[in-house]
Amino acid sequence: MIHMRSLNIYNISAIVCCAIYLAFAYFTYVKHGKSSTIIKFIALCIVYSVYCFGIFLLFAFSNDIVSSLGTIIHVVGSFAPVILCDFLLTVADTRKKEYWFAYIIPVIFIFIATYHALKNQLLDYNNYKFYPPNLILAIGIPVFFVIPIIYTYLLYRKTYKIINSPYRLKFLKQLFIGTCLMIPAPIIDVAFIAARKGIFPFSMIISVAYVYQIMHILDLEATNRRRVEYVMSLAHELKSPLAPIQMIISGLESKLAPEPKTKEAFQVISYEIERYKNLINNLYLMSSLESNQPEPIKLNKRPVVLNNIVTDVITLYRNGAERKGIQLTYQSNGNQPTILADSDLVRQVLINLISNSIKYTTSGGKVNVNISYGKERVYVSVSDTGAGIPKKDQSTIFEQFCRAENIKQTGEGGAGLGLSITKMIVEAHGGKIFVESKHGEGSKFTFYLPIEEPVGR
Amino acid sequence: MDKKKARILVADNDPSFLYAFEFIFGEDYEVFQVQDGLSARALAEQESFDLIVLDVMMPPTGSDEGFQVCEYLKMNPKTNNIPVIIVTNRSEQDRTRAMEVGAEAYFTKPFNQSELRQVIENLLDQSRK
Repeated sequence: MIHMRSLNIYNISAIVCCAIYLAFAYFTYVKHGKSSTIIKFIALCIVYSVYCFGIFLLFAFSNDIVSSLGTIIHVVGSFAPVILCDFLLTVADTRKKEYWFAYIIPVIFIFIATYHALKNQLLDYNNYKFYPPNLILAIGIPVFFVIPIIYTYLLYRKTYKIINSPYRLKFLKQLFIGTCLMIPAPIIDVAFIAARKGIFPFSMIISVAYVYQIMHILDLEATNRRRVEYVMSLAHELKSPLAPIQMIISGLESKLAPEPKTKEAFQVISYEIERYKNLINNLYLMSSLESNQPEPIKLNKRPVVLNNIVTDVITLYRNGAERKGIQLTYQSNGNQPTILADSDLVRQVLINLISNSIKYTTSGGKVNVNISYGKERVYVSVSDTGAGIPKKDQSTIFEQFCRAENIKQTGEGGAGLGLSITKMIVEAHGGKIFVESKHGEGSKFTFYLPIEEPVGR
Repeated sequence: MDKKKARILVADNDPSFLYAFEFIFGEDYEVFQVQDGLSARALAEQESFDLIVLDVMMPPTGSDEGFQVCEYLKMNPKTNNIPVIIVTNRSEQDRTRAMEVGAEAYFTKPFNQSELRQVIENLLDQSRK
């Protein structure tokens, strides 16, 4: 007959923990489905529950067979930290070879459990002895303190680069809370052991809950990152047919020496291709900037003459402006020095501002570009006599996807990307952008860039 | 006097780009087309060319094949005196790398027709001397 030895709070807690872990495993599966991370987490929960069940069998029954069974199961369950280690490292996306030393800790844990089981110390509940000079315990117990700290550090090291805000803050908070919770937990465990009361697997519950939180955040972040990267590669794909199209159009223009009507047709095609290219560039820039966070924008600074970029862009838009009946003008002061800037990105800034002005100005209106060189800064302003921007929108228009309220009346489409990218680029160069505008009377966008002289050849 | 047309080798895995290049420059130069890095290396060694144009992203390696081919050509005594132009779909980010591997010029797609024509003429003139 299998006799229950005693049902005290410690035995019951062991079986309750066992149930908790199984419930955890079940609900995680139901909520998140089957990905390899989830499967590993479920396996972890199941092994922990096995561990607790082993403890329960060990202490709750006086039958030797059952107790031995409990010991064996308990030892098997002690593999749990190995799975935990493996799980954390997988989730942190490290190559396991780099962190091989992290596996030493759970292996030590297995040795401790096996040692005690073999020494029958756990079998004899009443004679359980906690020997302070016991070398294995002396090594093993500090290890419990070190585990959460090392894993936290490893996780942080490997993941801080791949976590974008807004998840970064949440993630750091979780790491911190988890670490704080995990440290006292083993103290409580050890205290119970020392009081010969049995083993209360407190620390394990904490560690599982902690791991669950981390995993959830990392999952969210991974989904977000995948979306951003998808947009980036999509934008790149969308852009590639444009190059041959533009080249052949310009080839046709020069070969066919077309009469004015055909020439104009080619110009309209070129203009529309430019518009299309601009939209895709903005999309690509936005997603590459997003995926680059938390690192700042990478600028490829080269010596450029700002005026050349401006005249380039104005030439691109001159015909389109004319067709719309808009006067496009340009002035510059100074001797046009060469400055250091990322020519592609600055070009995008000008394209965004000038195309916006043309877009939101009706026939008969004017768009003017002015470059003014100071001692340390060069100011560029793009002004128009268009729809203007209501005061309340003047700060929000620089945010992603935001467009001013009165835009709808113009009947013009737009994605709301241009100004936010413009602001990011200008600020990455160390400059600032401002808007002066009155609803119905036009707008003036001014930005400045610091004049960085290229180092002499 | 009918000047012999200069022979240009263009390597790009995008057949539309090869077509566009031939369309624009095919009347003034003899254009030879290949679609990957291995053929580029092989053909450059076998035949003699006056100019080589390489796209960056093409098979077999994909992401920087053009640079590798350029390096190879510049180290090979049979081909190291042929001027190389590197073209790319990506932006200015590859310019330094292009200079490092010894390319004579670097263009982003889509290129300005007259600018590229000018550069081609300059490079051909230089190597004729």
